[in-house]
Amino acid sequence: MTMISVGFALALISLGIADGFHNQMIRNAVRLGSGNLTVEHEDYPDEPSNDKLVAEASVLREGILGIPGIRNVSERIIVMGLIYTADNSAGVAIVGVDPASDMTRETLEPEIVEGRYLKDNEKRGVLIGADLARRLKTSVGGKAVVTAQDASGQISSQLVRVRGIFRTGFSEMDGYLAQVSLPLARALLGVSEGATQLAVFLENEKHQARIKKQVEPLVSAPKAAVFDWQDVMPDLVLFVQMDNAGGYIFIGIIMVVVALGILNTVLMSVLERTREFGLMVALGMDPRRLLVLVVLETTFLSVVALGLGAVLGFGAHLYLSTYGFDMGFASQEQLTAAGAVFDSVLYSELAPARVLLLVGIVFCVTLVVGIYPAVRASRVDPVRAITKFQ
Amino acid sequence: MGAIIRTEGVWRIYQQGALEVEALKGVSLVIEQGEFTALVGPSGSGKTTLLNLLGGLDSPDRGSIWLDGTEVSRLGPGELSRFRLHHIGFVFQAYNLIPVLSAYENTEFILLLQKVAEKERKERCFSLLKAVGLEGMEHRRPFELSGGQQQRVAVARAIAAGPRIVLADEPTANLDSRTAASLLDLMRELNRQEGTTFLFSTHDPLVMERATRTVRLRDGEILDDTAGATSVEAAGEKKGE
Repeated sequence: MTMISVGFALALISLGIADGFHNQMIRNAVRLGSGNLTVEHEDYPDEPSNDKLVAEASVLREGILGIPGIRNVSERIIVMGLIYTADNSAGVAIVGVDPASDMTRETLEPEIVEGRYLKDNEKRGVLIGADLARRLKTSVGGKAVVTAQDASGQISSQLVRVRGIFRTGFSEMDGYLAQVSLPLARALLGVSEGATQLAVFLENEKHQARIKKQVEPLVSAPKAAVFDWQDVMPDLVLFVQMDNAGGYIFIGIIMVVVALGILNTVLMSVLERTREFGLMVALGMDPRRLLVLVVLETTFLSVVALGLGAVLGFGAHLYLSTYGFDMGFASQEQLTAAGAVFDSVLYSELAPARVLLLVGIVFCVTLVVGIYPAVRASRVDPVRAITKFQ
Repeated sequence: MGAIIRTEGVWRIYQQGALEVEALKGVSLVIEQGEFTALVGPSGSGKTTLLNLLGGLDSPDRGSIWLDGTEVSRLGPGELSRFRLHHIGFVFQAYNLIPVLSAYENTEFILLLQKVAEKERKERCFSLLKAVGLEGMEHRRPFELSGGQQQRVAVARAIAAGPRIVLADEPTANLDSRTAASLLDLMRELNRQEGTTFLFSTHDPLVMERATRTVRLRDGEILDDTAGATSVEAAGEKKGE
């Protein structure tokens, strides 16, 4: 019983930590990236380019904001280009945002180490990461030029001035992001309206599928499409799948150990009662009833052990979901995987469906393993059983 | 009264490594209902083997066995269990009570298997335990009872369902003579009152002197029988020849 309880508890803890880790990565990626849903040019995810825009993006944004369950819709222009100062140059992602409403403000503003965030009516200000600032040898107030291919393929430049420098610890942001206002980004692209993407953020990620169905009819611009975050971040999806596979292997190993423990316990119990079973059959008990008896005993053992394991496992989950598990001993820097950031403190999260699946698996393993001892019990030879132990 | 036990040319052969041991050689026997019969003979004569065959705990290699009109030698394991449940009571040599059950629970075990109602079970079991001299000890476990008391529980269990046949394999082997005599008198009384057929396997003179019939076995054959049972010559009857 101890093996089942501890095994189940370990499996629960492992599942909770893994799911918490994955969900945290996904939430961070969604928050720092293009949202739960993204409206973009249908070819943009596969072949990003500066000329693939969603027309009438501002109108569409207003329409999406009217759907219940929408937390934020961030209209963005994303331009791959260069930034250079007198001292150096660097390839950057120039992202034009509405400073008043863009979701990245929540992430970047608290991480500003010098200067300020972009103002609502920012004209030529640029926000850059600390790594980029170091490479460009610039600081707040410094001048720079951003250059890119505009929507018609011509080289276009805009003068900017550094208003703020941030440090998130995420090297992809700190070294390659240059955030400007939407009007400046449009000027760089040579367009008057439209956006590369509308990043849609939901109040509850579980409503993604339902809300997507409500957003799609609103998207009337030519070649515009609504994407799930899974479509936009396939590497992250793959990482989660691979990590889950590893987790299943770990749980599988636990199940094997648990199964061997159950087999040992139940088989020993049956063998120790060979004489009693032989006597019961000699007195007239149907051998099939013995089989049922052992199966019921195994079931009872499983239920009680699962209950104890649940107490242990959920107790640990409760602690880990509140206080987390600090991975800071592994690294002091911001940890990343598959392009997503995860915090050094991991919190346990358990989805009911996954827990029920685990319960079902442990229960089935227990029953299957209990079949051999049950069959063995039902085949007891009463004469040998009684005389052997006389 | 008619024959309640009948065997015809029963053989039982055991394999011990490369050797074949003929435990019974063509035994034919008829026991009438209500008899109080002792199977006697030295160790290895085949008494226990015959008792096990008659009780459906084992199957003959050759020959037939009828109990209470049913040819039990043709029944499968499940059918034999059911037959034992409703027709046969056992008293084993080493008490063989279920150690985790009380005296009452051991006695009612067969009645439970027969799905007898609780009220009836209670009445019958308490009455039987009183009859075997264990009133007040119904809730004691086997380890709390003496050897004689445990054997009394075994007797109570054997007759709880009112079987027509009780097979007792050396029931007095582990008892002192006083206890053994008392137990045998109890069984003899049950035999007289209920008409239950008793068949004992025994070395004990106390059993033999109470038996109304004695069947003597040696080397798997019936040597003599006070009621005139026959045996088949071993020569030429060996299995496979």
